[in-house]
Amino acid sequence: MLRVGLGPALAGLSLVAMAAPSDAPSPKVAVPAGSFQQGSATEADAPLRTVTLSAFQIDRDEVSIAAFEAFVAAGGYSRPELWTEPGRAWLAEHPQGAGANMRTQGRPGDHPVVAVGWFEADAYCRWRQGSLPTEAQWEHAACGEGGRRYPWGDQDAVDAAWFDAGKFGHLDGVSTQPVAEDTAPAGPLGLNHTVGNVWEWTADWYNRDSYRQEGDALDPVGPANGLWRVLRGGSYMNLPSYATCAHREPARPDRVALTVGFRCAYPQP
Amino acid sequence: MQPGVQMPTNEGDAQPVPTNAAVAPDADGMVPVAAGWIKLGARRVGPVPGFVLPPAGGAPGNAAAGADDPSAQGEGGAARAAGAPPPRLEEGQSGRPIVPAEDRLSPRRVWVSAFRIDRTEVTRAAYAKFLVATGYRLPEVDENWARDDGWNWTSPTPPDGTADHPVVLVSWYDATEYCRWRGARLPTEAEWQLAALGPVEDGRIFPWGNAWGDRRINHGQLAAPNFDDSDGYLKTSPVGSFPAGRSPFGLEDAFGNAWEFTSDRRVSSWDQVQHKPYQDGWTDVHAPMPGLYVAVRGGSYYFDFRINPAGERHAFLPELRRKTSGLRCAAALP
Repeated sequence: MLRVGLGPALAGLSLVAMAAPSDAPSPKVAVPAGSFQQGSATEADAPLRTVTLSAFQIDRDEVSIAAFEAFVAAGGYSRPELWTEPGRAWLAEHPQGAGANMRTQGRPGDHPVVAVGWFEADAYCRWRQGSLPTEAQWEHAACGEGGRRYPWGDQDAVDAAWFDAGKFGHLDGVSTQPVAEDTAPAGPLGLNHTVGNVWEWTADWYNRDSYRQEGDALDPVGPANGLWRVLRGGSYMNLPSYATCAHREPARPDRVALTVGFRCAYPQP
Repeated sequence: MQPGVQMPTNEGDAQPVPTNAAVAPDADGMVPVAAGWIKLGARRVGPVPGFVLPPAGGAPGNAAAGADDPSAQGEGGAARAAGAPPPRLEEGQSGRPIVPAEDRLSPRRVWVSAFRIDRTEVTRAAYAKFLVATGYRLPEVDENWARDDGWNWTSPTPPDGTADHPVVLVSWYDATEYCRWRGARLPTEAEWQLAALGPVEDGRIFPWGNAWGDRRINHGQLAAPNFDDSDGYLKTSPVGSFPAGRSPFGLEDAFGNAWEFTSDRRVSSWDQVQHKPYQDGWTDVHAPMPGLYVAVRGGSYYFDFRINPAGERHAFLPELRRKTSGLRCAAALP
């Protein structure tokens, strides 16, 4: 993983980064059981609460274009057992999703897949014998015990590529970064691009008041139903205030956007 | 206002410009828009006649890197960190057109079918009903400019005293969800233009006519801090506060007050736009999302229309909640 300060010096030497993109899925990172502070004092993501999670595993990286196209090549869009009932209804209308060109956007295969909706992300994770992470799993894996604005602490990472893209509004030529190379400072578990790069789908339905209604919780899974699923982590097109540990963004499950991708979670083996 | 900058004062000229009549809204708060031809695309680039640009280098004060809403880039409120590269999208403040070069599509003759559109921009009181009914996210941005200046909502109730102001701090997705909740939708850019300016044969460049009127809309000013109260309001104003700026179809605040989202993405070529042939032009012109930018129209309390009348055509990032981004919804005729 390339980090702040090393990126330019190492870029030309990194044989891993120069190699043809692999369609191998992301390595998994083990997250031990534990408690953390979820939420923020900011009203839209309030209140802070204590959440306890059982141990699980999560992808170190966002799902790459190459990894997702391996799912497509394996017939992922043609295997009903990987799709939920509403997912199958969506699939009937969109048998190939938004298409490979939309997912790729002209980027190399080691960049994050985009333009995939919640149903596709959910099916991909099932194919990998996992699931989308819950909001709580995502936040704990990204930000550890909580109580911080970003995975690395409270400081804006002003020289991280994900930051100035959104800030200055001149985005021509600005794009995602490879999933396994993150120029932002590392979070506690070493996951890449939990904030920035692309938004990530989570398993939960969105409700503004769900933390307040549930209170402190063990392995919370969010509301039983809703209109919107929760996106986490912001994207390279956002201001940093959208790419925080706590920011929760509601999105229709069928949203196809050029800034939305995902990673998967897995039960502890 | 900058010393030495001459503003056109067309009000009171030999030909007084009449004010468009008020139109009573239907039960949904909408007014009908009759079908007509428009010319869609960049119509006019450059300052309005009689407007003298400040010297090269822009107006003093613009260079100040502020703590203001950095997402306001492109509206003249540039907050640029030291050492950051200059933006490639030029701002209205510099006297250059704010519409990116790749977005300057040559005008096309476009037929727009009849539809309905909200008479006013969506108010904060109306948006609050949506928030209460659905549990949707509050208009809130976790940044100092949004907190300190009172933009953020801290409950599904508008900030004090602003219930009849246009809702801002909404993203394109928020706007889309709000209209959907009402059983409506965002207007296409073509629909918005017809509703705001009337058919092309009327030749308007402003909703009320061709001559700039400093007190007809809630506008901004050339120089930082870009807020301007010469129109009576420093920031947003209650919807319908400028009857002299009403559009031919009775839309209030089509220009000024808050930018308004459309359902079109920004495109770099007419080849990317869906359309059908109609007589000697096109109809059903639409460039649906996804895209990296979405087309917005109408300018805001933070935008100086004197620089560039065509500058009321702009593009925003669809995910950002800006202190100038609002909306109105549209629907089919009943």
